[in-house]
Amino acid sequence: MNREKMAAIYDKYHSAVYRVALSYCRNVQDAEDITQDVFLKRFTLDRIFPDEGQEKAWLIRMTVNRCKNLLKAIKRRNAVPLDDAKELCITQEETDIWEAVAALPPKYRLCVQLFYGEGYAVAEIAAMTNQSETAVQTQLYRARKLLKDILGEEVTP
Amino acid sequence: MKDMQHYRVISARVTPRASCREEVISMAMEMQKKKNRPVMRKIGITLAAAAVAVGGMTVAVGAANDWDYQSIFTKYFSDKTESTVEYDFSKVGMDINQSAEYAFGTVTVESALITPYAMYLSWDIQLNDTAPTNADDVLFSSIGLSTESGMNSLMVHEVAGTRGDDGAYHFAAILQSGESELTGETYKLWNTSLAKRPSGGGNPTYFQDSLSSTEQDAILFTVSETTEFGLKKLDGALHTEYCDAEYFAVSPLGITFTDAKGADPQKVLEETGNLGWTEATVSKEFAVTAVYADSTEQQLANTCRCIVYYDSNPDLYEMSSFGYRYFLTFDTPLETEGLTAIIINDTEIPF
Repeated sequence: MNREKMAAIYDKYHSAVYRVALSYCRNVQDAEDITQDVFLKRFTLDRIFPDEGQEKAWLIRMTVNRCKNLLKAIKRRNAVPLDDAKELCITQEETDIWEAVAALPPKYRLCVQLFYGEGYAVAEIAAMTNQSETAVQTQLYRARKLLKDILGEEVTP
Repeated sequence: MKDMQHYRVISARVTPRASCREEVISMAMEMQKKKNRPVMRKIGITLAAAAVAVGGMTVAVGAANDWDYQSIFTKYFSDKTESTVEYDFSKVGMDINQSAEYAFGTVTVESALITPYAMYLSWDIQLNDTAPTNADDVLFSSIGLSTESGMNSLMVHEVAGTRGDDGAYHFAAILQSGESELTGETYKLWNTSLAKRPSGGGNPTYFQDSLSSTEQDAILFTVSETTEFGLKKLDGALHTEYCDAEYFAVSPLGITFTDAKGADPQKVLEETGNLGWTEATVSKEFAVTAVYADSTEQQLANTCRCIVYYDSNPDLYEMSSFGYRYFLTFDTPLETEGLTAIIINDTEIPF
């Protein structure tokens, strides 16, 4: 793959990959490392995807795998990940929602990111995260319930 | 009602550093250059043949090499056996002997024995002056290997080390692959950490944490081929309440077998709480006995680990399969001379 092709792929998908990584590990440095790892893998992969949707889904699945591995290692070291992205919020409502999502367990946070942040459908999230649609729906339901507890009011479905 | 559209708006503002783009493209270009120069690839050494005498932990190596089997055998079998067993390690023993510098000292990955789904890895850690320990501290190392592509990883947590006469701590562990065969992959060190704990117990204290991403490339080795070393695959079927096995790979150190029927994802989820990820493990009870031509028997194991495997399908939108892959680690190494059968629970499998 030549440099121009790599740049085109990176420009097209880097934000989504980084957002998913950051939502999962909540640490800018880790999210950047994972983003670079995932694109390194993509750039050295000799494969043509039939469409952009499948390529993006593949990248996100790689990202989720790397995040899970990293989080496992962090957990083992009893380290607490930082929430590095709070400064992105402008209004109080944005801050409330961002912090509430950040307080969710990682697997719920991932579902929220993919569903609300990236706009994927439940079936697509199920395929990316190797879960059944029912499991994803359950996680979204529980995530919304937890968000309601944290925020004190319902969130939009 | 809180509008989650806000979350999407915030998410859209999230981007990595601009310099990430050039960094990753440059790294990829550099990797491509290396791939085009095969002499630059670090290929693990495959030994022609070697033999180990376990009794009394005397190591007899057939050819002159740096291969250190002893740490693996000491770790797993110690002085549990008085028997002497000779093994053929051709094509499965790899002398790696590569080091990486950490804040706490030097980590050297010494060697590995590799079967299709398991890697018996030995590594040493030589602490530096900035990582003080008391003589009675017990050191625990976690170690991970990631494929060069980053697609797969193997990891084992908090393995207790033994201090050698040279002051270095020696570790050995089995890294099991539930997902894919180890063959044909190049591995780099990933997420290695070290902790100490007083011998009487207590909370672990972690030393400076894992390698940075650039340092992770320090240790690379390629598994060019694996075999069922010394022994072979067995034909047979094992029917238990846990599984219906179709694949047996027997080595002097253990048996791997795979559930032929696969697993119900819902049941896997209930049992492990973690569907489709290879770190999910459950313990099962198995009694394994080796039967010899002279009618003698050797008890080999009564416990094993089980990994939920997930056969990754490169096409994300097609169904993938789930199942159990069992790793029985023998309490004592298997003697191969005159072996006629393996009995797992009540099922005899001719050898």
